[in-house]
Parts: sequence; C-alpha cells; structure tokens
Amino acid sequence: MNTKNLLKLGVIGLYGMATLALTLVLDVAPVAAHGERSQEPFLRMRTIQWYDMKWQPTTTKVNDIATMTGKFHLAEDWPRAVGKPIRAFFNVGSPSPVFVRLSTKLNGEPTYISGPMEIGRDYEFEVRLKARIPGRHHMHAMVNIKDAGPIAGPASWMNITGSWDDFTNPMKLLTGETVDLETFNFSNGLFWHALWLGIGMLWIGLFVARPMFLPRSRVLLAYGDELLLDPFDRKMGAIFMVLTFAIVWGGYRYTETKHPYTVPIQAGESKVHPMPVKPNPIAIKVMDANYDVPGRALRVTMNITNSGDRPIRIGEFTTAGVRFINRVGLRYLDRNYPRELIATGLSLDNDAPIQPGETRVVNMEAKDALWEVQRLMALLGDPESRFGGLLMTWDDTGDRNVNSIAGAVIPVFTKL
Amino acid sequence: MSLQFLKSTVACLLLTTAVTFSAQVQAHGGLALADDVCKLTIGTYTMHFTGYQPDSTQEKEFCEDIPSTGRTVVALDYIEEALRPMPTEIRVIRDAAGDGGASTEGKNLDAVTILHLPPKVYSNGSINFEYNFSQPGKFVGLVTINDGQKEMVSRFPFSVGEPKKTSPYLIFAIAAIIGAGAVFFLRGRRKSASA
Repeated sequence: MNTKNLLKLGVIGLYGMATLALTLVLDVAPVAAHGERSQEPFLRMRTIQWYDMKWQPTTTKVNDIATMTGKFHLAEDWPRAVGKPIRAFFNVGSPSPVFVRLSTKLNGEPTYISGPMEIGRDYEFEVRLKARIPGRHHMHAMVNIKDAGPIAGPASWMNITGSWDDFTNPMKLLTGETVDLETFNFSNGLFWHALWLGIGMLWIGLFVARPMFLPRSRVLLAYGDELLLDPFDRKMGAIFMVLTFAIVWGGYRYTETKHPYTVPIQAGESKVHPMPVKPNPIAIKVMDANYDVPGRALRVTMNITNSGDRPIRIGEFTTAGVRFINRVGLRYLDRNYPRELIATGLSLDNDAPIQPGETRVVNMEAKDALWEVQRLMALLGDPESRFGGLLMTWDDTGDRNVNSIAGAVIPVFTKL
Repeated sequence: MSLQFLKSTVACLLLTTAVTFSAQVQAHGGLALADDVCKLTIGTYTMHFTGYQPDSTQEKEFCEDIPSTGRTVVALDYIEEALRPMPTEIRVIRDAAGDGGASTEGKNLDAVTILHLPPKVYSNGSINFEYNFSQPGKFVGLVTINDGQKEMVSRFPFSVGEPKKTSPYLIFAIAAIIGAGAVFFLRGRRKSASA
C-alpha cells in the first residue's frame, strides 16, 4: 500500500470520526421510548381494561410451572382509530421465550387460535407457563388484535432460577413415544436450513459468476431477454427446478414415512363466548374530567346512581394496569400485585356510601406520579384526548361491581 | 491531490476535536435528558423532572434551562418506588458566582435561597412547586433525599430567560465545514472552466 492510499484511508477514517463528533455535539433527541410505556395511552386506557391479574408464583426454578390469570373488559369507549377486535389472539408478552406456554384458556376453554371478541364484555384467562431461561423477566398479558396490533396489559417481574441446560419439554406423541421438544430434531432443522441456504446461494452465485445483475438488466432493457438466455442458463434452470421439486417431494415422503401420525397446524377461528353479564345496579355518567398537569392528578366529576338494595362505596379506579385505590380498595387489594402499579392517591369529595336509590354527583381525584412515570397523560397531545378505566365499587357484603368509565379530559394548571 | 486531501484532513480534524467538548455542552449537573425523559439523578435514584411555564407555553414541557422569566411550575416524579418513603428537600439558590453553586457548598444557603421546601415525605411520588422568576439569571437547584443512613444531594445549575449558548467549538466547526465546502466547490468550478 503506498503513501497515497494510506493517506486516503486515514482521511476516510477521519470522516467517520467527524460524523461521530457531529452526532455528539448536535442535540439529538431519542426518538422513542421502550416497552409498554411507549404504547399510546389511548391504547392502554380505552381498549383492553385488565383487572384481577395474578402471577403465581413469581419465583420458579427451571422446569417449574407458573400461571398468569386475570380478567379483561373490552371498553365500550373503544377508540375510533383502533381496529375493532373482530380477530383477536390472547398472547403473553415476554423478553424472548423465557417461559414455554403450555396452555391458554379463555373463559375455561382451551384457546390456541384467534377469534372475535365482543366490545363491552369481559373475558377470564389462565395461562400455564413452564420456566425455561433463568433471569428476572417482565411478563405481560397481551391481546393481539388485527388492524390494531399487540395491546400489552400490566406486567409483573417473574424470577427463574437454575440452569437453562436442565430445561426439558417432554411431549408424548400419538405413537406412544416421548420426545423433548427443546431438542427434538434440532439437527434436522439445521440440515434443512443449510440445504435451502446452499441451493439459494448456488443459484445466486451462478448469475454473479456470469454477467452480473446490472449488466444483465441493461442488456434486458436494450435488447430484450433473447441474448441472456443462452443454452447453459436454460440447462441450469431446468436442473434447479427438478432438484427443488425432488427435494420437496423426497422430504415430504421421508417425513410421512418417519412420522405417519401427524396433526396439522390448527387454523380456523376460536368461538369463545364472553363471561355472563353480572347484574350491575350501578350506573355512572362522566360529566367532566380534567388533568392537573403539575399536580399529576386526574379529576373526574361523575353522576352515580345506585339502583341496588345495598349502599356502595367507591374503592378503586384502574387504568392501563395502574390501580388507584383508597382505604376501601386497600381492603380488597391483592398484596402480590406489582407494587410499582399501585397508587394510593384515590380520593373522593364525599366518602359516605351511596345509598340504595340515591343519585349523587361524585368528585373523584386519582393523584400519583404514575400518570407521568407510566406516560399515561401523553394523551393530552392526542387529537382525541379521552381517558378510560374501570371504576370499582363494593357493598358492605364485599360484593363488587365494575363499571367501565370514559370521558374527555382537558389539561389544567391548578394554582399552588 | 495533496492540497485537496490536506483540506479535508484539516476540516475533519477540526470536527473531531468537538468530541472532546461535546459532553461539556450538555452538562447540567444531575439533570439530563436520557431516553427522551428529563431525569434528575440523586445517588442511585432517579426522578423525572418537568418544567412548565403555563402562562406562556401551557403544558409544553422543558428540561434544564427555563426559556423565559415569569411563573414557572416544576414537577418532580419519583421513578423508583424506594423514594416514596424518603423525605425530600428542595432548594433553589441564586448562582451569583456563575460556578454552578460550587462556591456555596458547605455554606449557609439562606442568604442566596429563593425557594425552599423543607424535607417532607411525598407518598404520591410527585413533588411540585412554582416560582415567579422576575429577572433572568443563573440559578442552582438542589434536591436532597435521606434514606435514613445517608443524605444524597443532586445539584443542577440552570438559567432563566437566557438565550441558549452555542458552543464556540461547534460554531467554529460548522464554519470550517462551510469554508472547506466552499473551497472544494470553487476549485472544482475553476478546473472545469479552465478545461
């Protein structure tokens, strides 16, 4: 390499350094957040409204079973901009397959394919998970909706101890043989990948070795394809075609012989009915809502009518997995719920129970830093600034009613 | 070739020197924009810092420097749950020396304090306060927490109503790029004209 070339390379290197310097000097704002907090607040607050979620146990050893259970309500105030849940799939959100999902049940029915869900109704789910990769993992419930994408629910940290090498996933086949799905036919998978990759590279290499893509394209444009189709090309094309069909057919025959009893991958549509509607004597109409920007407080004025025969108290407002509770809600709170999603800043202007037959205007305040930390009030910048959530009331026997509430919200700056 | 390469080399070297100074351009003590969130670091803990000037820019948020004088509302949100039971003290002092408050360390701050919130537990995880800055100038914010064993202080200098200063190195680097570009372009044109 002569001096000139060395200098050239040096200057190119300096260009790289200069680019790096510019990147650091200029104020480059990061473009996106991470995880569920990056999902639009209207997706988290006004679509799938999660409640009664449990992760048990939160610490498992490799190969142990854990469950994720809970319920969700499909909000009546479903945003216009989000695809309706005509095809939805219950899923689990995790950082890579740290657990293996053994089964999913919706309202007690095994569910492994997508299907329609009804807005305004509730579903109960149970997912059985087998611990696979050791570590501390953030595990979400999730519903994937066609035209809307994945809608993540609240998550809990789940710890897996032990060694990944000890993980097994045995499965008994129809033939009576037991295989370990973790390692079953691993070499077979590698072989088929390598085979098709090799054939593909050979095919591309053939055209790279002969006139390259660009000259071919120019010849094609100038003179048509006759010049390009020489006898060797035709011969090679025929060989590759026959080879491909032969491998596909041979592979299929081999698999049929080796594994005569197979179950096709299941398609179709799940037909899970929503949970029965529980008679709810509580009617709630949101009259006004505002968000105190620096005070981190959502204030809602509601008209609540109790048509039941027992007095009721408001105990919890839950939205996007964040549970705002007061003393009443605290009594019914599951102490294992992720602490970082519990806010004790729920207050009412009148704590007295709403009596049977009474209609009362209630001023509720849900105040906590979680509005900002969970990035829920980014909705103030949306063209449709509406909040949504579940309001929970209890009577003196502990019977709970759940109402989905929603309304427009405007930002305010309360004078301190 | 030699002159051409020398020019490029000089321009690149000038730009590269900016790497050394880039960190200083962004320095605001414990306060920094990270992962698109304005974060205040105190020991091992972090708070989400948001400033507002509701009378002029409504709910628009700012981090670090306050763009203009007037009513300013600041909110601090705890990111870690562990902060909630800890008492937090807030103090804003005048930075008369312009040294980011270094000269006031260990001294009685009452004389230079313009706002003080005594230590208090904020169980909702959010602190907010407002102050009417009538004059532009330099200030230092001090946030103190106590975990029962030790006191941790975050100190962040900020300015109010002062135009954002651009690093002289950046200005020089940009001027160098424009100059190098102009020379390169004009030389090219002269060559093609003589040909």
